[in-house]
Amino acid sequence: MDTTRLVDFDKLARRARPKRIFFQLTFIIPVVVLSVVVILAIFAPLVAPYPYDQINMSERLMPPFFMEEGNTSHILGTDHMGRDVLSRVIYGAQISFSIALLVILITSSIGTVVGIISGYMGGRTDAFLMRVTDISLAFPAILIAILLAATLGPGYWTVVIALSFLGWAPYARLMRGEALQLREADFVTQARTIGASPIRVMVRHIFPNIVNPLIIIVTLAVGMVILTEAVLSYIGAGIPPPNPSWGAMVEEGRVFIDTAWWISFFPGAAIGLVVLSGNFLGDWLRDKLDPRLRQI
Amino acid sequence: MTRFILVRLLQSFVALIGISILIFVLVRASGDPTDLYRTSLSSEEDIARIRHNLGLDKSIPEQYWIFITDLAQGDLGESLIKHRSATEMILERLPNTLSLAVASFFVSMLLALFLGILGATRRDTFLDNGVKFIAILGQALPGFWVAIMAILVFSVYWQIFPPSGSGGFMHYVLPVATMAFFLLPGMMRLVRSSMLDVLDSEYIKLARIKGLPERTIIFKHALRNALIAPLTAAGMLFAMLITGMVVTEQVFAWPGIGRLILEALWARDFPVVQGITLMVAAAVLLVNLVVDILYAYINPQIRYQMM
Repeated sequence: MDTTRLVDFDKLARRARPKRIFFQLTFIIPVVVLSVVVILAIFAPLVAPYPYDQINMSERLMPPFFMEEGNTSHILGTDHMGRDVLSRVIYGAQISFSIALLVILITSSIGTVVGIISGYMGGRTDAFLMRVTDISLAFPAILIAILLAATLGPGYWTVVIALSFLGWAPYARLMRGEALQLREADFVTQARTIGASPIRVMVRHIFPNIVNPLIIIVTLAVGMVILTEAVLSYIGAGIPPPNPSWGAMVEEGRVFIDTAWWISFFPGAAIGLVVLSGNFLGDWLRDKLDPRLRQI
Repeated sequence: MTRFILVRLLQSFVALIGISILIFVLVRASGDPTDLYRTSLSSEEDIARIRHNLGLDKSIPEQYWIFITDLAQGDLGESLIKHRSATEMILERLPNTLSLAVASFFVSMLLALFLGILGATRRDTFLDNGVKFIAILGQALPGFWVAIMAILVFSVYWQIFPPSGSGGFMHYVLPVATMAFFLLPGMMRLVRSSMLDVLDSEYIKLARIKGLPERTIIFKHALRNALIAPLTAAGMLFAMLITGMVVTEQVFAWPGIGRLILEALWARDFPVVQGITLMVAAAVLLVNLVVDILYAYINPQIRYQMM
């Protein structure tokens, strides 16, 4: 019987194994990183060695502990006002994650509702909603944020509103595509035939079937929102000082880049690490739950 | 085709009106703009005079009408701080922004084509993984931070490139590299995935069977069709270009429009912010209009579908 065996299974297994391990690692490492950062953010007052706004002018611009003049009282050094960089990075996680949570809650809700209505209703409603979605997708969010910051003043809620203002569009786009396909599905036709109202069909029959793609883009959005918030805080349209936003901390260190690189380096590295983890986790979920959404 | 262009033109015009109303409302949503520069010294008469000068004592529809007719004549209002026409201030800075944007766009596009084709034709090799790795990093690391670290390495330690300002060729290197950091990952992914799609199609297989050289197949047959898909994403790339410009001009103190809107933001100079937002909104709509028309021209299916 062995003559029919065309594939060398042993060889195949040998090749597949490193790939599978890598695939598992792209799940485990991001989950560990994100859990650690979220726990640090929640328990910041207990974990951080100093309050984020404790100014100490006698300990200005102290380097991190691994450098010559540094010591372990300030593991990641201090900034131009003698504030502990590590403590500020830990408190900064609170801002990044709470904004990401709020913005994603708002945008995914609006986007899903718009998307399902657009895809299920079709016709003129669909054409109008998708035109608005297209424009929102093409419009740079940074401009709305600057405009709002200039009129309302920079602040926490200004950032949440600014990021939510156009942020629903990608959800609407994706959900519409899903709803459009499901509209023709047998169970939807059957529900309609026995007299279910459009709202009932959308809530009870369409929505439960698009939860998977929703989970995927929500995960992918975490990194996106954190990155955009950092950009806004960096340009002065986000969280105003002395609040420890990662983006604003990078900007504060820009002037001291020739003498104290650590002020900018660590908050920026924190952004990179968190966004990278979020993106990897999103990609992993996509491969696991819904491989058709893969772009490459 | 004419009908298609007309419909699209009309839609863009309606969208522009919609956006102008939106911006008008957003700017006034904060309440009275005169609060922004009311000091303890200003008397009620001063405030009333400022309100009159700004036209704030008129009704909202009347204000919008004045706003929109001024706009139609190219008048974006007057800066509260510099007491100059916002249009003038923008036009003054426009060349700096355009030169950096155009240079960055072409550099990124060439690199994206090169790396995207490389990734697609040498799929799952070391090179391809390298290209994917750059894309992953580019989408996760904050551009402004990478730019500051580049200043640390290339301007502080090695002193090769100037850390800020505009001027000669050397001033362009770091800003263009930063812009490429914003644009490259998206562009590269688009070129790579659409190239992979095309390489998989029947007519490429036919070209291979005919025995055409690989170079001819890739550049003459595949690339032309592979470029259609990235074209549809050009609108989104334009939005990324704008975000990148604002951040890059801020990092390198580049005297362009991005820097201007931030200076206006910090001074709460809302007519200038509003003016630039409107101008960019119009540019965004125009770019998307041109892309739509181009796409319909290339792909007749779209033309009939959208009627």
